[in-house]
Amino acid sequence: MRLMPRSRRLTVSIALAAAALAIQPVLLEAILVAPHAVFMDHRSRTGQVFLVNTGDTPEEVSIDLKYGYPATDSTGTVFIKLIDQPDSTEPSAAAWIKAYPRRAVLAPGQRQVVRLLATPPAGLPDGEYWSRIIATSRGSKVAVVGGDSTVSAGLTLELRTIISLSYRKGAVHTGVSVTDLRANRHADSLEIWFGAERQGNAAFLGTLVYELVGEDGKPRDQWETPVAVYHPLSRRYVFPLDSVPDGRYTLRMRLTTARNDLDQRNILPAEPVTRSVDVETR
Amino acid sequence: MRAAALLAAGIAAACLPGATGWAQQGGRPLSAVSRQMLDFGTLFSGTPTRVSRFDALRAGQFELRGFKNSEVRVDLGLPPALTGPKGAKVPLQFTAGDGGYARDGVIGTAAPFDPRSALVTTLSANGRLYLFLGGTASPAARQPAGTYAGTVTVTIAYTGT
Repeated sequence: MRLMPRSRRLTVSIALAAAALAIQPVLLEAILVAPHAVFMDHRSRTGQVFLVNTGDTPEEVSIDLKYGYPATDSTGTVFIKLIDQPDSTEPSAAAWIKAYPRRAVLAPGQRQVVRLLATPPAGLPDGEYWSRIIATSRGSKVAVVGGDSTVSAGLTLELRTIISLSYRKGAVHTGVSVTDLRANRHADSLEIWFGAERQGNAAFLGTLVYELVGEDGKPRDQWETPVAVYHPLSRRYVFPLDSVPDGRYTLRMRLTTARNDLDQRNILPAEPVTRSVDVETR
Repeated sequence: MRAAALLAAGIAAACLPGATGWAQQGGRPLSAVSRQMLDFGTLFSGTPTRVSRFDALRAGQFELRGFKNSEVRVDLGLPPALTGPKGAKVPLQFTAGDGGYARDGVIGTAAPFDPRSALVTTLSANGRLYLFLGGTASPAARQPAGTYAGTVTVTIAYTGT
């Protein structure tokens, strides 16, 4: 973006980028972080994360570890709660897991392995300890071309990718209890409030399946979403009722540890939980 | 140069684990791609310029790639202004209709969202989500000359791990 006095037209530098776009796609910034969930154990005390610059400009990437977990706000919206200074009751691994390197500049196409090394405190009790890995990438600045003394400007982009890290020591087990299940029609959608608390000493990672069943016992619609319970949650889900005629239904909820996005060896088993609640969609 | 970069990216991608391999590493990749930064184009002093999120050439365009049907949360950190010489600023405004998202990448039919608030939604059946961003820049009548800059931060996270 270029800015000139009122009488003169401002020519935008990014117009060059737009011109380039007309020729072929430009990936201003593109960073791949994998896996999306890292699991470490007390025997190996190591882990790794892959970073790949899939764009066509250099990327400066930094890695930070911070204690955090999915939580919900008063509106039932999920967010990643990051805590800089967790108290001693929180199972934080952020302070004793280090990433090497913590900073790298990746050329286009370059892949970087980030090694994770844990040095847990002596006498660490059995259990699961958590952190979040934050990969922040900053691409090269948008080119600003100023051919004279006019004013120019440009926006830069910072991409932050947050993934989970779980460190397991000794016997770990998990479970979940459902503390709330309410459903009602809200405009043209089904609003569901779902509350859950973790049991055991490890996070519950599973899948939540909702099924809307008619009075005739036939399923009318189904929704499925992965869920993670670290601390008590009170989630609000909204699903469209487009294909569901008005009427009385039963909402069946099933919460299991089935996950197809995670290595099954990292899945901690737990008893499925089922609940149901009546819903009127008139 | 670009061809070489793309070739290098292709080779790097080819050397990465496949779907099964990623799962064995603990999970699937999550990637963010900026296809185009929000571009306010030609400005006139004292005249606000609005870029619609439907503007295919000037709206900010981002693409997220991850595991199919996964729920993600996206937070946009939007600068209140572009900062220039001696702290001079060009104010930016983002309103409720300035954000759009689509699972098929079609900008014209993207659903609206308020870019000032978080977006919690699911990736498509092929693991894609496309975001579009518009906004308004309001240079002053006597905007000082110089270089103005600002940073947009895009934060993405799976909510299910």
